[in-house]
Amino acid sequence: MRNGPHHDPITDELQSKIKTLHSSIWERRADWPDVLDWLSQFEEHDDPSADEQLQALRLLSSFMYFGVNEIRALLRSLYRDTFRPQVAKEVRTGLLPSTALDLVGPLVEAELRRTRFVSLGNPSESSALLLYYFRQENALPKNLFLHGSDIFDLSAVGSHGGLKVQNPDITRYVFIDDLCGSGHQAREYSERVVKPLKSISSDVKTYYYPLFGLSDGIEHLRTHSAFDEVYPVVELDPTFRAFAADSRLYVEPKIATLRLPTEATCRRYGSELVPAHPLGWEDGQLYIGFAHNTPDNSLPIFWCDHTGSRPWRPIFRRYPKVSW
Amino acid sequence: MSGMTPSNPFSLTKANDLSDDQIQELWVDIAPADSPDSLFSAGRFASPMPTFILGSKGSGKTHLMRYASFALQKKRFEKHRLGPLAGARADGYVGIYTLCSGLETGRFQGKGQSEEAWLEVFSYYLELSLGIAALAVIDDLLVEDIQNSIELRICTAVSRLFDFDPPSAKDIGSLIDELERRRRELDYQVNNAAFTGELAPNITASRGRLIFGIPQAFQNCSSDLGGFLFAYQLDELENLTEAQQKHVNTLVRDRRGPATLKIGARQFGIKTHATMSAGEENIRDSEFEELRLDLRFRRNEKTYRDLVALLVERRLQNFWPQSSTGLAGRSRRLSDWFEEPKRDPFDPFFVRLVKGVPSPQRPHMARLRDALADQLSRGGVRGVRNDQDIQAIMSAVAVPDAPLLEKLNTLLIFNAWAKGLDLAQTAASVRADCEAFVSTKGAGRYRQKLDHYKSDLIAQMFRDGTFRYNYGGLDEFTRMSEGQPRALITLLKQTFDWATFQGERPFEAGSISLDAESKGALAAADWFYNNMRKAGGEGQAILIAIDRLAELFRINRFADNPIECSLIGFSVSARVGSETSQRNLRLALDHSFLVEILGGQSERNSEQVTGKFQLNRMLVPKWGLATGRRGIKPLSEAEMNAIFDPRMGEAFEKVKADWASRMNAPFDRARRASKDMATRDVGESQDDLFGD
Repeated sequence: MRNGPHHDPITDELQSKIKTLHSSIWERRADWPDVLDWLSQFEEHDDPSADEQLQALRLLSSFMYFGVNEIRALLRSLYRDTFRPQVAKEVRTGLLPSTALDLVGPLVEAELRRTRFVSLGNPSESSALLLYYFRQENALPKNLFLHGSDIFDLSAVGSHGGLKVQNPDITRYVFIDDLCGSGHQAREYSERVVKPLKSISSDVKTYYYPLFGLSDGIEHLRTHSAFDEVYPVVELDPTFRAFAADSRLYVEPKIATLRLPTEATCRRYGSELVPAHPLGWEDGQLYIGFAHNTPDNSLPIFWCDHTGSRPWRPIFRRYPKVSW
Repeated sequence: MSGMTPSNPFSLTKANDLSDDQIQELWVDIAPADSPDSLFSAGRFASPMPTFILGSKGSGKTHLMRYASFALQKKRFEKHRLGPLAGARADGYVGIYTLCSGLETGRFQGKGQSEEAWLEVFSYYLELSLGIAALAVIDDLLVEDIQNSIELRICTAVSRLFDFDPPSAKDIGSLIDELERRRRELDYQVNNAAFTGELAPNITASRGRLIFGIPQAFQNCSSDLGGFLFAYQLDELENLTEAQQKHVNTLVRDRRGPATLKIGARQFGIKTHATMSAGEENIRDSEFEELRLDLRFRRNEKTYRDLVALLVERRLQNFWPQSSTGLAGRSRRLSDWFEEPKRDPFDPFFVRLVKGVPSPQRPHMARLRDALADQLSRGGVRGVRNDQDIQAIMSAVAVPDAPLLEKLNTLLIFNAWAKGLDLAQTAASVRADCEAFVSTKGAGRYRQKLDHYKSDLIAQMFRDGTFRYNYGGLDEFTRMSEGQPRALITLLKQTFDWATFQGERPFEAGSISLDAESKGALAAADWFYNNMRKAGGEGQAILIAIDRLAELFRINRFADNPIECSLIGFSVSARVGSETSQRNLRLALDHSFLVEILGGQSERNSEQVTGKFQLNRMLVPKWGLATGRRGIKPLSEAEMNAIFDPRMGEAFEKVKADWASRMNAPFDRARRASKDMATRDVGESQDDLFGD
């Protein structure tokens, strides 16, 4: 086990890094006994290149954790640097180029009052929590927020009329999410909510803003969904996939050779933990976690909390969506 | 305390970061304040003789000076139900604390103005600043009943101190306002001089008139107001330029009336003792006294040990109430919370260190056997002519149950080899000595060698077994801190962090593991070392020199036959070395990377006085070196230059090769080297292990 006086400079360096992460941005979520407990589920080997524990430790030292403060900062950025400038741009496009700046401001404010921010999914899920922080951080009034089901007025459906929007004065709907992986879930949502909305109110604009988005997923949504705008605060290009050929984790020549053995290790355990998605939902291969939850696009070895045939203790637990 | 609940009781390391309450609560002394042995008395705050309080970074200067300041005195007066005047009389002084860095002295130069003009402006600025501070203290000293009767008299007397435009204030508050207005006006002129090209200050008081005049004016107002000094406490004097320090020195020299100066500075921050009084220099013990804090601690280890124990206890009481330690009701000694490194040669730990394998398979035995076999193919060595001879030696030195003694035995064989002695005879003698020691555990030459070389031998065994070398124990940490309390706090801070990260409960349950202590010591060493990177080109030169020195000490520590035991020190003649290397040696001392060993020695075979220096022990974990210094290696001029001149990389490689060759089998260059470059060094350094 890696908890003796045995001196291994690589382990020492990784342990030191994890200590710094633990006491700073990881919000004290993984102290060394936790790490050792997690590592003990992997095989130890004298040959460092075959040592699963060392592979897992190295991966863990790269884990990107976003605590409450970081999430709040990203939500400020989403409003201040992404959405608000977009509205200003759209307002200015509709005006003469000579329009004075002091006229644009009030128009943007008026447009913002006709905007609704919408959580994706169930009110008990993370998106609703994000909207709570989003409102606080950007000092926005409560009435600008909706749940998806409140977009529509269903009172006339099934009697004499069809689907209507609840408030016809609204011109913009902004959908906020924590992570866009493959984009399939957001696309499904777009089919269920955004398409019907556009069919009855073609002038409204819809925006999908995840805090993080994998490039492929973002591109998929831009081409296959009904959202008018799709834009992540932080775009994760394919190098953020742990075992991509150009993964940023294995750039250094000294450790490049560890990529394939580490992938094999993660796949081996992942196949037992989440057989359909051994490297994360739809092969996400991410190593990212948030204060409120760890997304299933991350490697299951980090988050899986299994009590069944293959018991597993996670290091950054995921709180799953329980079905009754 | 102050509503703070830090996650580490040692997280605050700088006195500047502490509140007044924290300064008061965390203050510890080695004797009662009124005892002449106390630190507080050593500051001589109530003595009219000016004092320089010197020490390296973290030696406790600021804590001492702030503790002695009026803000803290007032708290103590309240505690003892004393009025401010009665308290001041009881203490014999009031402390007027000012940080020189707060004056932003860098502003008083350049901008197209002459140096003389800036010096006048700085002098007036200091006059106003200290005058305001003194008046603020006076305002606090005057309780209501006497304030009304004498306030106007004080204001009138103070206004007479001005050469021009005397303030017309009728109360002290207004007088302070007026002086602050004049200072703001000066600030405005100084700050804008670069743009206006002008500096036309309205200097209304001469040098020293306010600083010395205000206390005198105050005490002249009534006989009730005398009986104590106004002690101006200027901290961080190193932040002043040489010319500005000269001005302060002049104040020291011209001190008069019921006022004095207590000046805090880094040991090497005093740029001059010259004054503006006809070029006269201030002389220690004539114009001023000197208190050297860390030197005082290093001279008296027992005092320092007692002090740091108190300091740690106080921290725990204030910041870690969950600790079951504390002077009252504690059942454990403070040092018991720290796991100590194993040093007893019969401890089973050493069998585990060699992984329990039989003697012939142990790395140190293999090293000796292979070296002898190698030499056999090249003609042999005295007393070793064939494999049977080697086998006989190996059997003689083997100690299956005590690998540390076995390791010592191999070193003794290597030592005899380096000296050209007969190894068969040596092996027999070593065996006899070892057996006698095992049976009696008594003192004698074998025991002496063990004690001398134990640290190096254990370090080699750790390295052979790829184990991390251990640093730990409160005594070792105290020794490593070199008389600087902040260094000890930093060591404990890092250790505490590591211990809690590893799931331990320091000062609550169990002991702090050696593993956490060693990692803490290494982290503290890294912190100390990396701070120097910020010091620019000078810092770089120091780091290169220290790296080189440490590299040589490592060669010695891990050698077959170290020339000195626990080597972290060296001596060098004051006249030796190029200008660059002497300068870098001084810089390394200024920045406390090197520490002067007290009592410079004469060379063993000459009358020449040399300086003795050692690596700051805070740094040694970085290279796995010893914390208990024993040997001191005299450096030749060539070695001195190769280490301390960054451009001498090639020469340094040669020195390294020379050291390695002299200290490791087959010791080919041991004698040749002595002719080449450090004739005296080798002859002296090859310790005669049995030549009592």
